[in-house]
Amino acid sequence: MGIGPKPRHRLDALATHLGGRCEGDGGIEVDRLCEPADARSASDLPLLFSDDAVSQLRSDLPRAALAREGLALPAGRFSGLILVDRPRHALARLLPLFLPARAAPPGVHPTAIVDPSAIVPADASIGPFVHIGARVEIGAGCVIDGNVTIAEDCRLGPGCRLHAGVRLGPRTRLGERVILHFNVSLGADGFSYATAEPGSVETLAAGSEVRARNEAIERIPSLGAVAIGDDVEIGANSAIDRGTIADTLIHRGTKIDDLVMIGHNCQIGEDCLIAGQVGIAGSCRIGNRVVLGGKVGVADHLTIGDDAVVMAMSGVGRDVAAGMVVGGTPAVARHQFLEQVLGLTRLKRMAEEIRGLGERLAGLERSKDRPLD
Amino acid sequence: MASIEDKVIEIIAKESGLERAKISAGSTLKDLEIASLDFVQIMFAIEEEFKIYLPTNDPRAETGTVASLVAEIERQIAAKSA
Repeated sequence: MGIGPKPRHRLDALATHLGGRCEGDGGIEVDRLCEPADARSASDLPLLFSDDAVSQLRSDLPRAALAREGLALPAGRFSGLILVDRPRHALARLLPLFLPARAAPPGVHPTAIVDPSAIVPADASIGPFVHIGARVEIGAGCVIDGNVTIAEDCRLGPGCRLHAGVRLGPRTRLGERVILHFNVSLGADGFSYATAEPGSVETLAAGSEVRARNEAIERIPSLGAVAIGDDVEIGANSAIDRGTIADTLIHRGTKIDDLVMIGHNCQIGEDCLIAGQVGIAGSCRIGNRVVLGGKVGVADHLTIGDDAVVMAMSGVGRDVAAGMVVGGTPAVARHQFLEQVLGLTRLKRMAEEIRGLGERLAGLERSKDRPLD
Repeated sequence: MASIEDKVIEIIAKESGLERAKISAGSTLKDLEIASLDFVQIMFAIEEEFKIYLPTNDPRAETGTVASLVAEIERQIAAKSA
């Protein structure tokens, strides 16, 4: 890709695009977003979202800035300003305009192996060393980078973006505009086994001790698939296994971070946010708009209600009702979790107090036993 | 000697990393956007400083003001010396 001139944007047009307010000279043109400490040219647009950010601004060159509404700025410092109420939302609208365009020429790279029965529209881009299996249907405008494997009978909706190294198991279905980052694995066989006789965990569940050995573990193959809704985004190296009979489902708009594991038969609702290293065991039902913090673990067959929030590092061992905020292991209501943390930090002082009381009590008892003179 | 209020504000500033000037008697820990684990550390530091135990069964503790926290500390100190 050749290096062309950087696209320039007028301040007033940007403000409209961000849903913000333009103050001063709306005709100023900017061509680069920057941290305040990194500002170095008149056409830079420093991002000023906090008092700290304002204090880090050293260069006098930038003529304009993007600032949080209500932030105290040095009077007259900028000729033009964009003011926004929700800085992070503004970034979501702003950054795509400054994203360097990546060349993805339509067509199939000569090193790609495409089964003759697969449907690849002319405007799709298929990168080097891609394998596309039998009866696969690729939607219009899909961009598939190098070393992607798409097994037989997969269907990709229009506008999907598969980064290098993605693997799709048989029958995986992607909605429209799905983004899969490096090495996402969808539709591997689920972690599903059975023994002829009741095994250790089954006897443990029935009583309170292990009364059997796990012998001759037989695998249960997965006949289902993985289905991903429109506008879902899945981070690098995340894995979602296919269902045993029915499909593992991720509904519209859900965003999944890197290194997330979602077990077979799970159903994840719409617009959820699932942070890095979350692990969800098989057959869970996660509602709509649920937020799972980093490293959260969810045991199998649980239900988490709509709009629930699970704090980072929590271990969810029972159902979570809609709208609840839970934390800790086992996860309990947020307030109860914070009380537990405070209780732990108090232990040292409480132990000292108990020892002091014990000594006083012993002293009192000694004086009681002493015969009166 | 620093007043109880000064000391409480000092503890909140130290544990949360906020500037003292931003914290006043009328601030609530929620207004100050103090993270939940900082909140726990603030409670603990106050308990250590004044040798008391704050009530933990009140889910509204984070929405209480610095002034109400000071009032609770004063109440407990008074009860101890009574």
